[in-house]
Amino acid sequence: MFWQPLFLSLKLAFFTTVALLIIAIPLSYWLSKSKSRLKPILEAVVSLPLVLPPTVIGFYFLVMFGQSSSLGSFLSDTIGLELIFSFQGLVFASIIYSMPFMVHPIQAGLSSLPSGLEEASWVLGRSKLQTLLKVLLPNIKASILTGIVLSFAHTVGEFGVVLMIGGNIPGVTEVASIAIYKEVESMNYSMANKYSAILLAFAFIVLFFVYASNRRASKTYWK
Amino acid sequence: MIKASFEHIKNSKIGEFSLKVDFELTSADFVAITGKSGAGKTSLLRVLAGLESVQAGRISGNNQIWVDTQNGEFAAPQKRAIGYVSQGYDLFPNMSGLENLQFAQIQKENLLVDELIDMMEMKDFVNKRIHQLSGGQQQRIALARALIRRPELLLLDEPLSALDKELRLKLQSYLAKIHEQYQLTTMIVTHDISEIRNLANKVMVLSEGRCSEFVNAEDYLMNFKSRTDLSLKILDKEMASDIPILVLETAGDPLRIMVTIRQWELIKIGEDFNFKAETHE
Repeated sequence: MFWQPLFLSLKLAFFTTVALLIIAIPLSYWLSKSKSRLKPILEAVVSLPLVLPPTVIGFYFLVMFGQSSSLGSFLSDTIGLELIFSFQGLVFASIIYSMPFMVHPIQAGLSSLPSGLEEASWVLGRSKLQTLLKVLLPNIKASILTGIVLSFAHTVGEFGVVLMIGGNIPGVTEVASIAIYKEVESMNYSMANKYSAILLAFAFIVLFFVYASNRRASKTYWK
Repeated sequence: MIKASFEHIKNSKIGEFSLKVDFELTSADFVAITGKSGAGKTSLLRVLAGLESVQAGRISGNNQIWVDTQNGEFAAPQKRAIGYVSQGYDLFPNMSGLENLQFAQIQKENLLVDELIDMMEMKDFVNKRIHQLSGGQQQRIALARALIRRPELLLLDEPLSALDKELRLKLQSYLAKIHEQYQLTTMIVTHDISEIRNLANKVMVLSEGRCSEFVNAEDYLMNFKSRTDLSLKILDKEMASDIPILVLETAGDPLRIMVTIRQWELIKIGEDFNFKAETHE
């Protein structure tokens, strides 16, 4: 039982990170290249989780996808998708909540590449997709790694959004951060300390890894 | 046969710039494009490569239409048989030299890759990563990469400008060899009279977006003594016995010229210095 919330946190972070990577690459590419008037709007939407209290996101998520909402009941009735008090709901909310942690590093990485690299690939006959996959992304490995690690770590550390839309159902939505809260509420400080120490060590190792790998990557290509 | 007749308008921070040209080239042509900075030389190459669009006109290469604004036709860079080497070479740093060459292969046949490696003497360094290569080695990889697709038109944007004199002469010989062997129309942006002399059969002079001259290289060189406008990069400023001197970059040894003290004070190192000169060929 002790490991269950930790395992659930890792599972949530894994699914969120994979989904975010798939969404963030095309989105970051568009944001790094576009001159559209819609760009600042989209950038603001992506960055909202950085400044909004997680409870605000959680609240609107409840309003949009709760059983009493038309969208929530439509999803539930047609495809049986429950997004409140469910694991899939947590994944969906985490994707939105951790979006800037994946999009920002990848967008910054793509923007920092000389535009000539992309153009050279086109002139050599390669499509935009081939150019993205074989030229642009391999040259921003460090940015992608930063996005993956930060999104993963941020999802593991989620609390407010998870509590609002997931509650604390053991084995379903009770992730490590919720377990700490629950143990503290029950005055079980020893157990709360165990969870906290594991998360603290995890966060430190992850950040150390990000900075160390970025240092190595910057030494490799751009001399 | 490359035919181009178009107007390209670009809005930049310094205002609107218009490039309007009209020319025809055969596979035997090696054209040197020259002119002051901002005359539209790089824009011309980028339009031909399909990296910039035109407002009006028509461009075709070997009977294939690349641009026809009247019929709304525009072939993307991928659809044009073009080799393009930019000033910075734009080699892919995540790949080795060989992988850069192989990236340009659409069909997996190594004959041309091997042939180019031999021809341009790249065997010793072709497997190294890009950041491990010298400027001259990178230049050779970039040139070979541009040829892998067997282009009909090779566009070179000051490819030799960053290299020292000895290397420039060596690479000029590669360029001449390539042009002769593959019989492909070549356009090179250059300020270097030795490149014009050693490589080109035609010279296009651009001035404020217009083709002010398009002549045989021989005629251009014969008349070069009467040429008045030169634009050379300022390498250094010196004061020799109270005489203000500018050190200018040329293909050979740096050129030292005397200027007025006011010019000397106002001019910055790294900028282009425009002046009138009479040179005898």
